[in-house]
Amino acid sequence: MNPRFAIVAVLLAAIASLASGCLGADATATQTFKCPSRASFTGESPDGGADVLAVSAFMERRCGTLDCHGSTLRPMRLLGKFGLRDPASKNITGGAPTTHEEIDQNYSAVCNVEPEQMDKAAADFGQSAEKLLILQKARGVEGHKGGTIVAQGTPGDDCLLGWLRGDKLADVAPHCQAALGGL
Amino acid sequence: MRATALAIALAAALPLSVGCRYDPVPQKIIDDLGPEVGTPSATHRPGEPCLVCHDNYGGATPAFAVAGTVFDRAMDGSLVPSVGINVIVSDSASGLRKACTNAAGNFFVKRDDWVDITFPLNAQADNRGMSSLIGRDGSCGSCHKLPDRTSEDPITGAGHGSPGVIIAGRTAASSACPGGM
Repeated sequence: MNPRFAIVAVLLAAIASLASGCLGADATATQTFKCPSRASFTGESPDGGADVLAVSAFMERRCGTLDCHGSTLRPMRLLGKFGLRDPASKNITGGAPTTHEEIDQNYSAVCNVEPEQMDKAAADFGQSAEKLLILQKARGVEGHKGGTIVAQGTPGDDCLLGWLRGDKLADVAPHCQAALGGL
Repeated sequence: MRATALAIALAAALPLSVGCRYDPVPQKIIDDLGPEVGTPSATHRPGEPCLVCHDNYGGATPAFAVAGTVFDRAMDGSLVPSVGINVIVSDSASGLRKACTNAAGNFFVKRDDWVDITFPLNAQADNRGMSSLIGRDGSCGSCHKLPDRTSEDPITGAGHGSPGVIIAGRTAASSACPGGM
């Protein structure tokens, strides 16, 4: 064997073992973050009752248009009847009603904008919610290409803030439905 | 000598300035539209997203605030231009503009004619209103896409990320406007 080749092979093997040693078990580890009430977001009643329009429905209509967060080019991608459809389905924009799978994906998309901060907001029952990017951008406090979406104290703002505060579906949904009424 | 130095400095600055203007996202959309066929006019490129060119980045004139194309379904189901259709666009600050489709079905509102446009918008072609809002893009064709290989409906272009092209759905009560230019 060429001695130069042998040296290179040994060096590469050493680097490979070091690299895998650095990653170790953490390479496949996952971390779990909390997010405020799933039921209040999705509108799916936790006690098996009928679904109602809640945060997801409001965000689909106001934020999830195809030229905003319903675009595949944007982060916090939202799916829904009048926007982007679940690519795993055969549904088209404007066709069948928003599916449970799409609402679940919306929940994941919104919760994962700032997982650590969202976890904190869920833990302190929304006391830190006003620092969340989602609310800051919606209120136009933080730079947002779509401008101000909700003014403080309006039904749309109460819909988002109520959910982030951990309010129950029965308390959040009326605000979201009132906000939807104006769209 | 001084002139040579100036020429070299200008030559060095030119690619820098061009580089700053380059934006890969709109540029890819423009490139994908392909080259112009014939002479650009008010009836060119029906169904395409007008504002990718008729805006600051594309630089085509006139710049538009809102623009798009309206189609009808022919007897055989194919798409044909919807000529002389009223399009009404309203914004979130109580602004409202009307436009009329031309011979290609194209309509537009110039940016100079709606400087203070405030999104989101709502739009209506003839008697048919939109079910959703327009969040930020004045190009109807950005969402109402022409059929392509991703379309679920190969005629209208409807799919996972598009309701398909705008189809007027004329009725006896349709109000025609003097289009056809």
